[in-house]
Amino acid sequence: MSAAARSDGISLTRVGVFYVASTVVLTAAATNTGNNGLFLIVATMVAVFLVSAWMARVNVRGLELDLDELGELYANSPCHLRFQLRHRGRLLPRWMLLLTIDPKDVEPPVRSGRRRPTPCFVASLAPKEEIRGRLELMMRRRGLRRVRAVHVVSLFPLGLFRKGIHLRTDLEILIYPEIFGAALSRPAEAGRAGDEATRRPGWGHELYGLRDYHPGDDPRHMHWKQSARHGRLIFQQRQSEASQRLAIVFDNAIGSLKEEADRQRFERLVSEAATAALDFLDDGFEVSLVTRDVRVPFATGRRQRRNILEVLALVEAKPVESRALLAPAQATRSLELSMSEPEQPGRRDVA
Amino acid sequence: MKFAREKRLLVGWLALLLPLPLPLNQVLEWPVLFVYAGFVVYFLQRVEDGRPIVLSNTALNLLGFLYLPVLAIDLRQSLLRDQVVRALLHLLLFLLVVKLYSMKQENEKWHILSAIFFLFVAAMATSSHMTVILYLVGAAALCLYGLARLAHLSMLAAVGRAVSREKEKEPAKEPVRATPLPRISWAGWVSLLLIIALAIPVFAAMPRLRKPWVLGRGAGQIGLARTTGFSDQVNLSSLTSGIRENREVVLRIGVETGSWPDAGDLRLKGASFETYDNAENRWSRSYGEFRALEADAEGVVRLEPEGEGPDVVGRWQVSLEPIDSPSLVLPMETVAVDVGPGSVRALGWGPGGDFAHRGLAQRGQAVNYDVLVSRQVVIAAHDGTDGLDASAASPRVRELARQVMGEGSAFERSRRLERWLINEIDYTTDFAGREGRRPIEEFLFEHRSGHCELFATSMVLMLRSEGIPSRLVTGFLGAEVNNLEDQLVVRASNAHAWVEALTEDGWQVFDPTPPAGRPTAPDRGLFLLAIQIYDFVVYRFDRYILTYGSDDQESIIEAMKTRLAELWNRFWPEEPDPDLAPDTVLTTVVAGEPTQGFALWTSPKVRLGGLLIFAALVTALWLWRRRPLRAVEAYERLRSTLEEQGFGVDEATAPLELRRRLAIEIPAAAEPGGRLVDLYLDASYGEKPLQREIRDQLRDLLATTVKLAGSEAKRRRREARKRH
Repeated sequence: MSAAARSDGISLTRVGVFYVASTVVLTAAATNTGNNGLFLIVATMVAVFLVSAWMARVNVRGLELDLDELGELYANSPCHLRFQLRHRGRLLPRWMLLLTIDPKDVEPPVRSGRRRPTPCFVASLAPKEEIRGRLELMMRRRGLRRVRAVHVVSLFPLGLFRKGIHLRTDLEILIYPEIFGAALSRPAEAGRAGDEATRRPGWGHELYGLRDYHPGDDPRHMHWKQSARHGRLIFQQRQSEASQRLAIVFDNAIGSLKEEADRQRFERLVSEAATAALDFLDDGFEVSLVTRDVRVPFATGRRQRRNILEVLALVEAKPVESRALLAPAQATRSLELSMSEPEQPGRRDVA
Repeated sequence: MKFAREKRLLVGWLALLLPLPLPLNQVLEWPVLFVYAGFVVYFLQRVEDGRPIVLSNTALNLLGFLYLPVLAIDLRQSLLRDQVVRALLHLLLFLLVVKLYSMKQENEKWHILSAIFFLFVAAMATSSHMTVILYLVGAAALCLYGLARLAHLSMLAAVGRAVSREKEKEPAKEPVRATPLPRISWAGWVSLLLIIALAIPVFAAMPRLRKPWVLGRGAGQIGLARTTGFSDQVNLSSLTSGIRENREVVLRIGVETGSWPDAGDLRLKGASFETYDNAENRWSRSYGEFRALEADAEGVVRLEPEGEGPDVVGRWQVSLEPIDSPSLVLPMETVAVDVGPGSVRALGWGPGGDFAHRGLAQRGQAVNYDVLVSRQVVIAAHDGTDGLDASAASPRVRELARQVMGEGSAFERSRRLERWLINEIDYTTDFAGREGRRPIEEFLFEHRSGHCELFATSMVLMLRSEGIPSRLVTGFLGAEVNNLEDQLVVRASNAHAWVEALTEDGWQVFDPTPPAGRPTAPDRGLFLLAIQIYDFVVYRFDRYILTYGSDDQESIIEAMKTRLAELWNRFWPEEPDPDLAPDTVLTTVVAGEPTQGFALWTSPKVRLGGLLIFAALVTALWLWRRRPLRAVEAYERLRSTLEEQGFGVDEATAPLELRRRLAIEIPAAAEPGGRLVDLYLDASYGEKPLQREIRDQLRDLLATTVKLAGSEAKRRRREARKRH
């Protein structure tokens, strides 16, 4: 076994324990009666047991695994990592491999969530063969994580033994904040608006058109009269305003978070900021993010989306500062998120 | 239960196939098996159609209550007939069917498999036929497939479980399908061979604390039976038909000199009895009256004084397997017995006038001896006129004897009685309904049928009642010729009983059993070779599997010790003691005549040493070739290869330039070659020591790049040839 793998030993399953017990009982019966028919069974069972143990050990040898990200990874939502599993052996294929990411193999350690990640099953792998697949992952918290290894376990060949191995991967992944279904906070007007409206759907004031409602659309923009008239849900689209700029001001200078409730509120705020950023970017806004550490200037597009999410994935609480955190002057709207209002954290409209 | 259909089908097929040999072993009735199989087939049909029957708890309770009286009656009948195994099998089959039809939860499949396993054990333990090996291999293959499939389904269920939990949120997800078991291909067959190869030494090495016992055919009726059916206990009320089915080898005869006897007529005498009492033939004297015979200088015991008996025409080697009797089984034509010097006092006349041995071999071991044979019966005429005890003959038997035998000489009257028994009484091994308290009366007057010992005992009693001395003789009639072994093989199924009577011409042999009841030699004809091969295999099955025991284990250990000692002596011969064996020393010196130089190379020690050095060199070379490469070494090999192949690389080419040229000249090798160059740069200039696993990769990277370079060079040469 190479240093890239760590074995977690071989253990008897319940079936294996029952098998051993049956063999012992049958051995006693054979010895007591001298019946060679029973001795034949016992000899076969012992041979099967030994060969099974050997095959179980061999079955996870010579495996190599590469792991990389597949798209964006969000907290509290199933996400996938792409893997390439190679069999470097020359003779025997490998059978019945179950791949999963063990929470213990993730640093910093994560608590097991509401559900365990779905394993990936590899039925067989020929010598020198390479297969690709996806591993599901679910992280409860945002931030930087290191996936140290992927756990490969097999019951091959007869289910008498469980043989596992941790294939080292050392993949660093960034978990973005949890995204809510819809943003809970509404940004406040901070300056001119609508004077540069263009004919494209967006987040402006002017009506752009009516269309059927799609799941995920903001229910606040339903056109109820038209919906009643047509007998189906009608959604009213607004025109985009090219110069609409949203500044998300996230004040993370809030001191240390000692209470769990505070930490949860802080995480909710981060998710709120991320959700709002994604919503407004999707609607064509230029979005800026301001924290105590980083200022992400106004921009649109996928790169801006990634920049904001990366900042929010890593943002941490800082010591309290007296200096106020201000939105950029170019902003037409601003969303100020802070923990100053304990009643409704992060839900304050700021003028 | 996940994958319920697959699991039901799997256990259903196992439940259908594994109990099939039970009726062949006569521990289960065919109708019971047919009924059971019908239920299982219906179960399989329903599962196949996707409409499995799952009985409710109420139905199960009801079935249980209904079976209770059946079980009580079955147990009572079984105990009366000594057939407890049969009743237990009935119960097991009933439970199996009920469990199949009530299988709902995961654990229940293991309950069913446990019951199937018990049936498998019962089938194996009650079979003494060679085909049990085929059954074992087939059942093992089935069970291995079943276990592998269950493990496969269990792993698939682990994938499906997570999906099903998520269903509450994501109902659109597709359920996991029970994909078929991946093909194990040749590795499966290799594993099976490995299992068989491993099972053989395990079988041989397992401790045998008891003599081998076989719960043979009809075990449900007769209980445990020793594999060797021949014994001194000729108890007519407890005799069974099992001996005709017993293929245990009792005796092997190899003809050393002289002609081969007619195997069908070969008669071998074992014990003879002159008293009948309480339905049992026995000796009138104790075995302590064993009278030892003197041997001549060569260790040969003659049954007749030298020069008086018939001429010796042949010498046979006999190997007598352990039997439950001190009688030495001899051909009727035996003139003398040769057991070799040192054992002659162990031979003599037994209490019944038979030829016996005492302590000739250790208990449980075969007795080997040579016999000198003539052309005529010799050993029927010995030991006086005992055997006149007719007290056990009832008046009715005496009257019958008087009527049948009539008047005339003793020989004529005896022959008349023999004919009458052959013609008037039938041979049978079916003793159903007989009480066995008065077996001779039942045999002669009520049922008028029986087996050879009833025929012989009846004749003996009737002869004695008419004043003719007679004895019951037990032994063997007929043998099998096995050309593969070049031996005559006598089995327990050849056991037979006949009569010796003293007539005017001396002791004569009479056999009152009808020909239909006499043991027969196997048919000869077109299939002779097949029969002999079959016997060859059967003998080995009987000898090395069915009756394999602690004695065989001792023999194996002794043989291994001998081989080991021989091997040891071959390389490190013991120094001969000049005082004790001067001749040996002389021989050794003479044998070592070759020159000193030549002797050195032919010395076993030198050969062994050379072999070890060669093995060490080969191992070292292999390890050296497999060692992790250093980055510099790998890079230099790559560079020299590219130089040889003509890719414009030489010693002056810088690493980055080499990588660039590689990408241009051999694009396919750009990635592995580039990676190798990077590692070289890291190791040589980056002061980054490479980890072991990275160094392991170097060899593969180098091999891949060199292979691709070779292919490319070959392609270019081919194109160049075409252009020219």
